[in-house]
This record gives sequence, C-alpha cells and structure tokens, in this order.
Amino acid sequence: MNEASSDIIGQVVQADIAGFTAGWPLLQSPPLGGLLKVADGGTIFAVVHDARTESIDGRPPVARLSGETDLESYLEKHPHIRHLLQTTCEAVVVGHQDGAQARHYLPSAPAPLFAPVRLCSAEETARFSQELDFLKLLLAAPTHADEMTAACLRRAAAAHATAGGGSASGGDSRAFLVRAGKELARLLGAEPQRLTSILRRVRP
Amino acid sequence: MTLDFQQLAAQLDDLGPELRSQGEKAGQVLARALEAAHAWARRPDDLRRRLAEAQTSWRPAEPLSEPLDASIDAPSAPADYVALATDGSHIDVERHNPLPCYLLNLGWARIRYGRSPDAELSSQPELAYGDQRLVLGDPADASRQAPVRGDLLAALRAVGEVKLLADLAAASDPELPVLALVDGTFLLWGLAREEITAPVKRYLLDDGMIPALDRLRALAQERAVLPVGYVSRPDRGEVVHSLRVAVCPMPRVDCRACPRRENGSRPCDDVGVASDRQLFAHLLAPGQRSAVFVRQPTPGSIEAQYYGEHRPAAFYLRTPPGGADEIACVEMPLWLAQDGGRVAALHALLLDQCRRNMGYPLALMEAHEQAVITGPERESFRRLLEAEVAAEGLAVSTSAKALSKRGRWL
Repeated sequence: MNEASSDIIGQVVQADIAGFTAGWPLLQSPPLGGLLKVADGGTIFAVVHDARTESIDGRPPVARLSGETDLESYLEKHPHIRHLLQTTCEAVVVGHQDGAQARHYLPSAPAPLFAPVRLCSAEETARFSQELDFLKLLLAAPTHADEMTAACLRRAAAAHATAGGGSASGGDSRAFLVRAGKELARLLGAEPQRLTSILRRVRP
Repeated sequence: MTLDFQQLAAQLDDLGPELRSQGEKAGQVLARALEAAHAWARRPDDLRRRLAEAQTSWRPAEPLSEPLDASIDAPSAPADYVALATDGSHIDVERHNPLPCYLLNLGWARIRYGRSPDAELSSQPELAYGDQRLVLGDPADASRQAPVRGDLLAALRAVGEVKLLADLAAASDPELPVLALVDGTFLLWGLAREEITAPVKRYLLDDGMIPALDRLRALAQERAVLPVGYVSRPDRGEVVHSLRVAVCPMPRVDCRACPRRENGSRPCDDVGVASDRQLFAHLLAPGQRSAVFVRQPTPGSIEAQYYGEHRPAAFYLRTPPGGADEIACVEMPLWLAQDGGRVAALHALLLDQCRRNMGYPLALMEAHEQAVITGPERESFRRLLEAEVAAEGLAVSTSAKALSKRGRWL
C-alpha cells in the first residue's frame, strides 16, 4: 500500500453519517490513520480505518504464479488484471467544517455520493488536530479502532512537528502527544489495558 | 420439494452397469477407429475420392492438406500480440414482461501483451422495442416478416459479435498479430430452418455476417489478423463420419442402400465413435492440433449459398498442460485455413491464451464476463422497465403467472 499523496483523489461510493467508503486509484489507498477531507459544498473530515484491493465483480482472484517477483511485472504480464480490481478505503467521520470553524463531531448529513476525497496535508492535519474531541469518534470505529487511533496520532504528531518548524527535539510533536495521551486517559479510564496498548503504539 | 428423489434414485441405480457395458463397447470401437484413421491417413487421394462419391445423410469432413491422423506442435508464440474477443448475451422478448422488448449485451476484451501492455474490458447494452425493431424481413409484406426472438435473436447477436470483432481488429495496432476470437462458430446454423424467409436471411447474412467477415478478410490481407471461432468441448462427428465412409464395404458409398447386418447394425458402426473429440483425445498430446478439416457443404445450404471463401474450416486442439485437459474445436474461415503460416500462428497464440487461463482462452473468458447478464441484473432490468412504463402513466401489465412466481404462497 502506497502512502497516498494529497493530489490523489478518491471518490465516495457509499456513505452514512458516521463513515464512508471511498474508491481510490488501484493499489494507492490512503494510509491507516490518515485524515481525509471530502470537499463538495461543505467539508467533512474522516480518518482511514481500513483499506482493501479486491475483485470488482466478485470473482475470486486466482494466483497465476507465472514467475514474477514484483507486482508491477506481474500486472504487465497480465494487463487485463488491473481492470478487474478495485481499491477502496473505509473512513470514520470525525468532524466537519462549519464556516471558518472546524467542528469535531458528526455533520448533519452523510458525505455526498461520488464526492471527491483527498488526503489532508500535514498543515491541515495539524490544524484539525488542535482540538482532540474527535478521539472519541476514533475509539468507536467499527474495525481496527485502537490501531487506527494510534496511527492517526503518530501522523498528527509528525504533522505538528512539521507545522511547528520541525525542531530537532520535536517540541510541538511532544506537546501534542502529551495532550493526546491525557485525553485518551480520560476517555479510556475504565479500560486501562486498551489505553496502555494505544499509548505503546504512539510512544516516539 | 417437487422432485421425487426416492423414485429418481431407483432409476439412477440402473445407470452404473449400463455405463460400464457401454464403456467396454466404446473402447473397441475407438480402437478400430484409430486403426482406420492411421490406415486412411496414408491414402489421402483414395479417401478424397470416396468422400466425393459418397451419398450420405451426414456431412463428412476431409483434411485440407495435412494427414488425417496428424498431430502438430505449435511454434512458439510471439511475446507481442493482441488478443481480441467478443461475446454476447441477451434478454429475449418475454410475454410476461410489461413491454415487448429485447436486450442485447455485447461484451469485449482487448488485451495487448509484450511491450506497452494494455487492456480494455467493456460492454455495450442495446435495448430494442417498438414494432419496427422487433421484426426482421420485408417491411412492406407482413407475411415475409419474422419476430426477433429465440433463434433469430441469437443470430442477430452472433452478427453483432462478429461486426464488433471486425471494428476492434480494425482499430488495433497494425504492427502486431491479432488473435480475434468469438465463442462458437461464424456459421449461422439457426437460419437453415425452412420457415426463415429470404429477406431475413439477406438481412442477417448479406447485410450482416458476410460483410463483417469481408472486413476481417480485407484486414487480414494487410496484416496478421486471425479470426477464430472457439468451441469448448465440441460435439461434432464429421471426422468420424469420414472414417465411416472410408470403411464402408460398398465400392461407392450410398447410405440409402446400406448393407445392414442381421442384427440391424451398419458396417460403419464398427468405427462409429460418438464424437470427433474422443478420437482426437487419443491422437493429440497436450498443446497439439489436428489437421485442418473442411466439410463439403450440402448444395443449397446456408454455407454453400452465402459463405463462399468464408466457409468454415476447423482443427481440433488439445489444450496445453497446466489447466483443464480438453479437446476444443477451432474454427476459421477457409481463406485463413489455406495459409499454413497463419494457421501455425493462430495455434501458437491460442495456446498462449489457454495457458494464461487454465485451458480456456483468457480474452474469450473476459469478453464473456463482460457480456453476461446475471440473474439479479435480469431482475433489475425488469424492475427498471416496469418503473419506466409506470412513469409514463401506463398501466404496468405483468402476467398473472409472472406475478404468482414472484410471490409464492401456500
């Protein structure tokens, strides 16, 4: 799975209030924990909690074992395969833009079908994660909630480091993680094992 | 449950011994047929003469130039080539539907191998309704019109597949060999029925299939375009028929005066293998092809009247190792069959296609996947049709039988 750059555009193919599925160019799904932005009229923010590449029509892919050692040469040797696969990612909605204000709770309507989806830049990620109210929505994700929460916080911490001038000590990054850790401790007070597991995955 | 399996099981019990006894007999027939094939392969002129003189009720096929029992290896396939295939499916005119109409769906695959690999898999649906489009034939004479459904719709679809194949071949890279596949045959067998009128035949053949084959031939004169009809697990017996003629004790074969034996069997039943497929399963090793065979068309038949140089010739192919092992029939127009180099080229490309897909040409399978209309899609189509009819303010009239099938009750 490649790290999707912010100029790759996906498209919403299924949506409800709390999340959506987006189609992406083949084999280029956005990373686990990546912050996505659906901008079509309003703006909806969401975090990737799953991604998959699968057959487009339900036929199970068959291993043809023709001797290639990398995916690109395999696809070159079987050029029709690209046309039979699709890559999608699933994201939980974590907020929306309300005028100039980012709101860290669910919007009033699902992401519009077929709306374009982009991966947020480091700057956008840092700005959105100034407030940590969205962590509650991450922890309630239907799959991979803890792994996704940790991945999201790692990416946000890196974004804060970049946005804060990228000092060697990672000042902004560390401050961000401390704040996030405290918020997690508050949210997961009754689930200490879960809390520890996430914190271990976030530790620099 | 409506099928009574208890009664059925008793009938199935009798099947085993019957199959065993048939198997033993078939083994003896096959051995004699193989013996005849080898013997007559050495006497091609005698065989040709006997076939030319024979009066038979079925049509034998004779080898075009290679020995009758030939088993021929393919040259190696080029790395750079294009595989094209078209296939179709349809929803027939259905009297239970709210509106008389048919739906044709043509699917295609265009796959380019080697340098600059590329592919296109797609389909094109066509909905036909209204009095004009639901009949073929003389527009001025209703007695010479025929409704488009059943065999006629299948023929219309076959014409569409070959036209599309010619379009795709024309648009493909002229530098590369092009294997152009359809599922089945170029011959519109279904039109042989007596009740099909001349205007209908003209429309489907003179204005449909034959010009499409002409275009493929014109392309093939400039470059390596290789049109092929591929029949998986064919049921033909034309080579076996030739063996029957060969071994008949009559100096000039005439089935009307068959010298039957006392038990009612015919002398030629000694080599009467059920199908050519069984014969070639013993003659061919995996990947090999047989000689190219042609049938002498019956005078007045569709084949004789319309096809000319496009008359089908065919070889049998045993699929290459590594996939399903079967004997397929590979049909091509006569003008292609007469070019030994091209026959070798298409043999090689077909093997490559089969190797890529466990024994069945890959492009053809993908074209089929594009064309196929699944059960749920048929149901969606019916609902869309109903919605459209209802939206126009017309009463949706569905037959009582169709309604009762949708909602079963006790």
